[in-house]
Amino acid sequence: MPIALFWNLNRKALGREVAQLCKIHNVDILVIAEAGLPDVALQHLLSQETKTTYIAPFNEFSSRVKFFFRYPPESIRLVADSYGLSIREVRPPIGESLLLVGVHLSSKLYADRNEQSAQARLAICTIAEAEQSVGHKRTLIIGDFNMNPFEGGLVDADTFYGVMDQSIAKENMRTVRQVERRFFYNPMWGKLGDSSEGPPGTYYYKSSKNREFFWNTFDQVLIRPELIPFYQEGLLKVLTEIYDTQLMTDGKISNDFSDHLPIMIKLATE
Amino acid sequence: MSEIKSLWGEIPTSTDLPDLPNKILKEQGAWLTEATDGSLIGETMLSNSQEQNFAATLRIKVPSLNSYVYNVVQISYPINIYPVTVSNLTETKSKVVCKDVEEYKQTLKQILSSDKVKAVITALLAQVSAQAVVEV
Repeated sequence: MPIALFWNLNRKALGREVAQLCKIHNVDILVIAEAGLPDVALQHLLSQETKTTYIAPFNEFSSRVKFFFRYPPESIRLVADSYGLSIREVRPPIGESLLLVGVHLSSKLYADRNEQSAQARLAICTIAEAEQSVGHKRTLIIGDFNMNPFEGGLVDADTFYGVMDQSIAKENMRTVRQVERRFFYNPMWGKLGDSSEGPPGTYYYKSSKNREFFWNTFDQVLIRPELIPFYQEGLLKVLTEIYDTQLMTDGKISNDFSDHLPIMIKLATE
Repeated sequence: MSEIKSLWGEIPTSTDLPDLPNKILKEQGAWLTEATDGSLIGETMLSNSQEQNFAATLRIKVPSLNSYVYNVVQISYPINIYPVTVSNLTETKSKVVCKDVEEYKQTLKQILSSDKVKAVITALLAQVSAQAVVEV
């Protein structure tokens, strides 16, 4: 059962905390945005903490996310890189292969809604081409979209088309204005607000704007319908603690760590 | 019946037409393909754009690395061609609005000859070379 963890570290040197999370949750695929330390330093900490080897192949090609794998080098294949998007095929020694997409799209500080949607459109074209290249659609997207699940760049048919309902996603595609658009299932819809299991979001921000959500769920996992059989509710978590250390204090994300919370998913493809 | 006269004015001939931004992008792709003897293919992909009428992406494709794709630059432009918006897809994404062909070519040059793109090309050629050794 591959376990993937994503964390935007906000450029802080949180290597020890990342390594501890990998040990606690037995992580196979680690995806990092805004790493506050070099790959080799993180690999060293991972090795010290978990007593296993994490490889970091091809990270020179990925500008905004870094991958670390607890798999042999021959299990990882380069597929595509673009701004804020890196795609690798993961062929674990046991089980089905995955198309792994790590994302870290532009912040709302630098990109307006139109720009974010434009990035999403380019991303989905690159992903569709990658799926054709590897010959399957067992696609897992994980990362910081800098958009909430309900924003246009995530839900519009010409972007990620991430729906909240597995049964809709299982219809695979829909023709919109004569173009076939394929669904993703976005289980993060179920993580919004304080009625959900876990924290109300993955990123907290407070401004004086008229419209302010306070809690945002920028960090997300999207899966193609082909992976839904390998996913169960409860296997996706927003993490709030590392051993006894709490990543949140007084109901907000602690300043001692990143301004994002880590997310983790398990897929039963083995 | 009266003689039909053209009300169109002077219609440009094919030799008068400006080079489309997409064509310039394709030419640069062809340069890369030729310079690397086809180890790296510079190709353009038309993509969707809601804000502008036309959009295209120049990327590097590596046939011997299972057709690995690295996106380099994206352009978008309206029906009357300029201004062209150029997005650098290689590192810190930056958008430059070019008002004419000279500005457009200058911006492309800055991106395509950047240290980042050079480093990527070097790394890809090294991968291709290593792959060739394995296959021998």
